[in-house]
This record gives sequence, C-alpha cells and structure tokens, in this order.
Amino acid sequence: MPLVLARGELYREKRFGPNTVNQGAALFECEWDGGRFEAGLFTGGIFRSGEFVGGIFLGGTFCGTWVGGIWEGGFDRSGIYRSRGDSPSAP
Amino acid sequence: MQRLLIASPHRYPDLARLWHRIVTRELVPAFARLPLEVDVNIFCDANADQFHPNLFPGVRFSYSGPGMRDFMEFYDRTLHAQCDFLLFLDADTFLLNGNWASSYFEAFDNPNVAAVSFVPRREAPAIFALLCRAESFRALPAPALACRYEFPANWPHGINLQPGEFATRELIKSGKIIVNIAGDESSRNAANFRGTTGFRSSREHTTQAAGERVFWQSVGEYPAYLIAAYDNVLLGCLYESLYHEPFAPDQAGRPLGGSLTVADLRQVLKGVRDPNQLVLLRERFELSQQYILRMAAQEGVELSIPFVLSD
Repeated sequence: MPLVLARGELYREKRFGPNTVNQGAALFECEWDGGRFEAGLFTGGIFRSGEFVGGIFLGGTFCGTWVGGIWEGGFDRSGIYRSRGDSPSAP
Repeated sequence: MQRLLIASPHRYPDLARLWHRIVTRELVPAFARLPLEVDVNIFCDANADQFHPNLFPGVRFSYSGPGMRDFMEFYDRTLHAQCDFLLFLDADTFLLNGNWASSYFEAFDNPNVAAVSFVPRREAPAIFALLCRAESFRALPAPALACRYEFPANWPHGINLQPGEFATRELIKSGKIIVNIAGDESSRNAANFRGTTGFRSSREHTTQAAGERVFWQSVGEYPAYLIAAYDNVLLGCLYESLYHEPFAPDQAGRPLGGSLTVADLRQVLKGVRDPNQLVLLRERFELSQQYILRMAAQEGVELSIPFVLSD
C-alpha cells in the first residue's frame, strides 16, 4: 500500500521514500526520494528522485524527473538557481 | 557625469510606495549632490498591473519576461544596465539617512573597492542594501548575484549562498574590497523589515497549493513568520497613516489579510509557550518598533501601534 499524503497535511523535515504519493500536502524542508508528487507544495529541502507531476516547487533542490507543475524557483542538481517558469531538467 | 542606478524587485505596490517615498526623499537627492546622475528602477516581480506609474514619479519599471523571469534574474540583468554604480535596495529595507549613505561613496576613490554593504547579514556583507561598482561585478562569471547551492547532494549540509554572497566571495578572493557597515551603525541609519514580502508571498503559495489550514499550521511552526507578520503590522500602521488605505489587504480588501491581521496575530501568539521564543519575539518586536517609530518621526506622523503580545 502506498503512503498517500493528502491536502490539509503539513510535514516538516521528514523523509519520504519511493512508496509515497503526494496528493496535496505541504512539505517544508523535507527529503523526497522516489515516489510521485502529484499535488501540493514542496518548499526547501531536496527532491532526490521520483516524479514531480503537479503542485508547486519553491526554493528546494531538484534532482528528480520533472513532468509538470509550477516551478516557482529553486536549484537544479548542480546547485544552480533556476528561475520561475524554468524546467530544472533542462540543460 | 557618472550614473547611479537604484534598483529593487517588488511584489507589492503598497510596500513599494513606502520604499519609493524614502528613496526619493533621502537617497536620490543625496547621491545627486555628489554629483551623480541618479535613476530609480523597480522590477515588478508580481502584480504588475497594480503598480500605477502615477504613484511612482521618476521610476522606470521593469517587468517579468524572458531573461528576467523573477527577481533573481533581475539582479544579474540589471548589472548590465547603463550605469557606473548600482544600489540594490531590498523592498523591505529603508536607508533613512541619505547623507550617511552617500558619504560612503568616497570609498570608491580606492579602485579596489567593489561595493559598500549598508545592511549586513550576521555581520557579513549582504545584498539588502548593496552599493556596487558595476564593472567589478560585471567581470564575474554569470550569474554573479543569484543565489546558489554548493554541494547540493549533501543536503542538508550543503552551502546555500544567498543572493550576492557568491559575488562577494569571488571579489574578495580576487583582491577586491567590500566595505561592510557593522550592524550597530547600520541600525542607526537604516530599517530592515526582512521577510515581510516573503511572508505575504508564502501565504499566497501555501494557500494555493495546500490550503488555508496548512498556512495556519506553518505560521505556528516558524517564528520568523511571526516576526514578519508583526513587521507587516508596523508597516501597515505607517502606510495607513500616510495614505489612508489598507496595507497588505486580502482579496476582500481586509487590512493585513494578505499577511496576518492584528487579531489573527494575537491569536497565534497566544499559542507560543516557549519562554525563550517569547523573549526572542519580544526583543525583535521592540527593534522593529524602534525602526517604525523613527520612520514615523521623519514623516511627522504619530502612530498608534497595536498591542499584540501579552506580558
């Protein structure tokens, strides 16, 4: 059974593995490693792996697979800042 | 004549009006007397349609677009504007003594001086109010001023360089000098309400992505949010006394509804039980009160500051 995070939930400084689906929770300074981010907010922290398909990414480091969502700003895997509307997977 | 560009990214026109009021009263004339040709540039990082040019005489506006999608790209793009010197001045930072600020311009007589930092971050140079010799910063690899993360895979132990910190480090390594005004002197001449813009935008983003309830939870978890919310209350006092309009309204026009209303802030503060945190909040609130009262005195207005924290 996957761990499903729902809208209305807030997590701070937690780690989530590949068996996680976010359907609307807010993650502050968390570590995401695998799993599927469908909706919600990822702010601060590191998105090590997994798919980001929806929601808002703001201010963290992104090393996963960017499928879609709103990129408000943050760092790519090299630590370079990518501006609003950019894609962190772009060269 | 050499040219100085005073530049700042803004999201909210109300805060920008306060910023513009003090820039045009204190900084523009003081630097013009040196003499310098002084221009003012505001980057509308959001809400561009609410920045009415008639409220900002003498300002050139820039807007989000290709090559300047957000405030971070604005910094680096602006380095290449037609000017010899740049004063980056944050939206929530106010230099209250133009003669004091302009007196530091003579530091540039030394060709090795690349910048003067008027408002430090933990006693180190910061971009909050940074007077730059443009050619020194243009010589750095781009992006020179954007924030960056070194050793990101080592999170949370990587190095998160704030805007301007990479440039400062590289300039110092190459033998340049950044004149760093110490905190005490800075506090006597400047007011910094750091995080007030960030808190308002955080409310927008968190509510949009995860709902109002999560925003309220986050407020309780981050003391910095409470400080920013209080600072917005103070800025609102000054703004409303000068312009008779609500500051930081929500979509319904409720004053401070885009930050925390006074009633909401009181309610959240009632839940703070940690005595150490209360001491910290009280100290920080008092510092901000000193700033806003000094600004009010300069304007010749008296403020009625609401009480938010019980004894």
